Amino acid sequence: MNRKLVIVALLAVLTASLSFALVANAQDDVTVTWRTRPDNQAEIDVYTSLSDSIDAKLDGVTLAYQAGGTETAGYQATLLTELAAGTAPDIFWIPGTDIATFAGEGVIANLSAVATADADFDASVFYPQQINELTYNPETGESNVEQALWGLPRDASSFALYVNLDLFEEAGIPTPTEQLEAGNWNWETFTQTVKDIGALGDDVVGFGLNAWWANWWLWMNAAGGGYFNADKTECALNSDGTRAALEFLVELYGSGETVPFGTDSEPPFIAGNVGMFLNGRWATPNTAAQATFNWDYAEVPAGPNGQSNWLFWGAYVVNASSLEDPARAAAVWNVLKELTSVESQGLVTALGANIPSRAGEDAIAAFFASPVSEGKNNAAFTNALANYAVAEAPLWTGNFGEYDAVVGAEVTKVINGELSPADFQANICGMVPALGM
Amino acid sequence: MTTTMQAGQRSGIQPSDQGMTPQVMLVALWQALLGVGLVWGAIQVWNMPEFFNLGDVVQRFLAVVILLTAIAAFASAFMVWQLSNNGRFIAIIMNFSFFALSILLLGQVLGLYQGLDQLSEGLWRNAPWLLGFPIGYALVWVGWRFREGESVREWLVKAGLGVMMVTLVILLLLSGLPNSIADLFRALVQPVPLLVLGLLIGFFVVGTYLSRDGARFGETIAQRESWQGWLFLLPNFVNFSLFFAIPLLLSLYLSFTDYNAISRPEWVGLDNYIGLLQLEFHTIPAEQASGTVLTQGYGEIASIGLGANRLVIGARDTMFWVSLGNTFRYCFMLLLLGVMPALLLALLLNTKIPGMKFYRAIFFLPSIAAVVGVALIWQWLYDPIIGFINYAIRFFFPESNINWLSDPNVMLVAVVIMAAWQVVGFNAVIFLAGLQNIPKEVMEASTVDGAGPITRFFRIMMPLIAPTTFFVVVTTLISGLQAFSEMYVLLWATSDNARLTTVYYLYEEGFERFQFGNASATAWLLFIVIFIVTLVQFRLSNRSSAYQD
Repeated sequence: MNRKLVIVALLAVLTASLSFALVANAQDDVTVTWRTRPDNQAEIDVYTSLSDSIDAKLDGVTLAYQAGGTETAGYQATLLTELAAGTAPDIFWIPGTDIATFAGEGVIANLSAVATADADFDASVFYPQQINELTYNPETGESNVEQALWGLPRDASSFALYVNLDLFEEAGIPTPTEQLEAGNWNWETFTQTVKDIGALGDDVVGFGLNAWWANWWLWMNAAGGGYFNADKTECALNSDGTRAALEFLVELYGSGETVPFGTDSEPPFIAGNVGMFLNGRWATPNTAAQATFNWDYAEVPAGPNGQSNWLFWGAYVVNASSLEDPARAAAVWNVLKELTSVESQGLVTALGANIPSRAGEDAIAAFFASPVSEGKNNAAFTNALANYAVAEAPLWTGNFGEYDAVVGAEVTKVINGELSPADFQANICGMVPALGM
Repeated sequence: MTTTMQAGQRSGIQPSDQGMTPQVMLVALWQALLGVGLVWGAIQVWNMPEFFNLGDVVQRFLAVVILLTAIAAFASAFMVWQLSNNGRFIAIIMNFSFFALSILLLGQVLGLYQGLDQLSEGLWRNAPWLLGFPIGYALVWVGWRFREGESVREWLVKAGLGVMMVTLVILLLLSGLPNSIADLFRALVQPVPLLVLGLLIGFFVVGTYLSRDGARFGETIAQRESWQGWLFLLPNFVNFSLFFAIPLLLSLYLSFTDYNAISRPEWVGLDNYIGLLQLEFHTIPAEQASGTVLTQGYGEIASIGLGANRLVIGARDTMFWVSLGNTFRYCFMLLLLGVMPALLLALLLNTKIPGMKFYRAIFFLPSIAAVVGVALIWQWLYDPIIGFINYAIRFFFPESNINWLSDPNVMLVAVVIMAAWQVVGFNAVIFLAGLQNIPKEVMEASTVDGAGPITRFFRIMMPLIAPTTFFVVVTTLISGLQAFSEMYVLLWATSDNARLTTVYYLYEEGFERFQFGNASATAWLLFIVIFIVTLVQFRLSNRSSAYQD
């Protein structure tokens, strides 16, 4: 028998058969594709089962979940490429800061008309900070669902301190929650606590955070500062509040009892060498799975301007082209509502990485009932969300990425001691790109 | 001649088959129709209201290219009619090119590419069945060990093939093959896929006919070899054009636009380049803040003391300049740590001591490891609190703690150490090859002439391995100028501009801030830098290549 002939025949059969197998399934139903960015396989599995359950629930709709991104192409890069090629999914998740860019370019749909026509839809079930941003009409400067709805919030996360209780016990000092209950949890006591924990040893530090905008903006807010003025048309980084926050951070990091600014703080925290680690809810699964010490959540200390926090969020948005066909538009809207229902959010938040974006008691109850929430001070997150967290806002008057790239580099210089807070205050607003409608 | 004769015999066409035939007329007609179709396509592209969000320039350019192809098709039609071999040559290349493109297009219109993920998922779900293939192949392989004609051979080969076929069928059935076949036919029985399939067959038939009918066109052996050579190049040429040349040209075009990937690019001329390169110079009192004199949006990139005053250099795109400076610093350090140690290592590996092959393999290993995996490991080693490196340093110097990944003065060094660790083994193997090519007679003669080890190294070995050194320096330098993954993984946690290399900046500008026009301009400026640096090295290398002449 001729070997070459056998191999060629086999290859031919294989190629032909695989080509057949590659063809995507055609369906008579309306196929709605959706995508969100999962952090791990467990989340992919949950989103897949969520997709299957919604698929079974909705008649005439076939739901196809795409995990998005690969090992070689990030979520954002893949999405941008597909948007450019016109092959992006019907519904996809984007970070809250990107809403303005995507809406401004007309690639995501304004769902206002379809939402107001739906008597069952109630935007007030979501946290008002998020809905306020998602219903912002850049032309009128007003926020209401009659004018705009750029998507529905997938989830919400405030920031909390992940606390290594063993280190506090070893240091013999009250925990942050105890200090909060005593009405004594502020920047001053926080700094002292950091130093007390750091005194435990050369390889133990009191505090760590990961250096990106929310992690310094949060402290700026607590001191009455921030990036922008109220309507985001001017730089406010030269305010005294911002400077006060930076001076506080310079002192904190200057103590040498913190994870160096700009170093990933999660590994040393998980290893048990950090007293308090500032992060969002997404750090929970890894901490729960790997930490071998007693840990809990605690609220962020109050600053000179009172208590403040950061509401980090992303939204499911709808591809503008998906609304062109009315039948498809209706199917997409129904799927979107299902993706943000109490049941769906309960399923996703049970993994521990997310907090429901619905402020109602039923959603919160489902969140508290999840196994990863058990025995923990989850109120550190939900109190902040309900009472004082400032939502991350899309920037309609400029490019947030360009703006933050300048700010991030300068803030890092300040905290690393290369630039004084005074020089920062003097120069920063001249360095950032100009804002304006 | 023999080849031509044999080819002629195979195709059934003898040199006597000269003159116009209905087939040739049909081919000429086909080429003319192709030209008409291309003209129609060019008009359609020209008039499209929106062309994949790429703007007017790309649209017009593509229309012109299609039009030029149409002209070539008309020309070839006329020339084929005249029985011109050049016309036939153009038609062959054209038909086989369109045949290759039609295959790609058919895959697209049938949705084959979108099924790739589903296929990988299906295969992953049914992965245990894949074992059937190695088992089947093992049976075939064992069968082939027996002599031809032996029944056991036939039996084993058939059994092996059977196992593979059954495995294939099971795998495809489990992946939903019947549904997929039905879907394929449903997708195929549509006007556009049928049209593409028809064209595909047409291109193949015409191309094949023309390639076998050389005698009618008076083809010489040299001409036959010429078009056959071009035909062999064709698959790679299509691949090169689609996935390299066209994207390259596109990025050049985008560098003159404000493209952000999701909206139509607007032509901005040289604005992106000017924005990247524009500088301001101000002399101000030493104690005055630079922000008071720099234009809005400019940042200080350098300050030079001039007594009571200082010269402030401001840039419109601070990060570009900082990233360029970082890139050069990185390259300089990488050359120091990645080339010279490699040469020393090669000298050691060139000695005849037991186990040297093992050591060569060990030192080469880091260079075949994936950068991302390596960087993740080094990230742990470098951790200032729990990293092994700082543990070791603290063991000897208890008060010391180096912030490897966040101190702006150290982070680039940390990355270079990792990159050099990875590249030294590879460079050493290249140097080793160079060293082993030095003629033994030359080394022995120099020893007889009284040259010591140092003299031999500098006067004999170094000049003789100059081409190798040049190669190592150029490749290391270019890899340094293109450094990205190392920083992306190791330095993701810091916002300090010290982390930025030009490619890292380019990535952030494009994929995080959506400024693809600016990112493309950065890429082209980097290309110019790499080109100049390499050119200078070539010149220097030529000047010192006395031993090569």
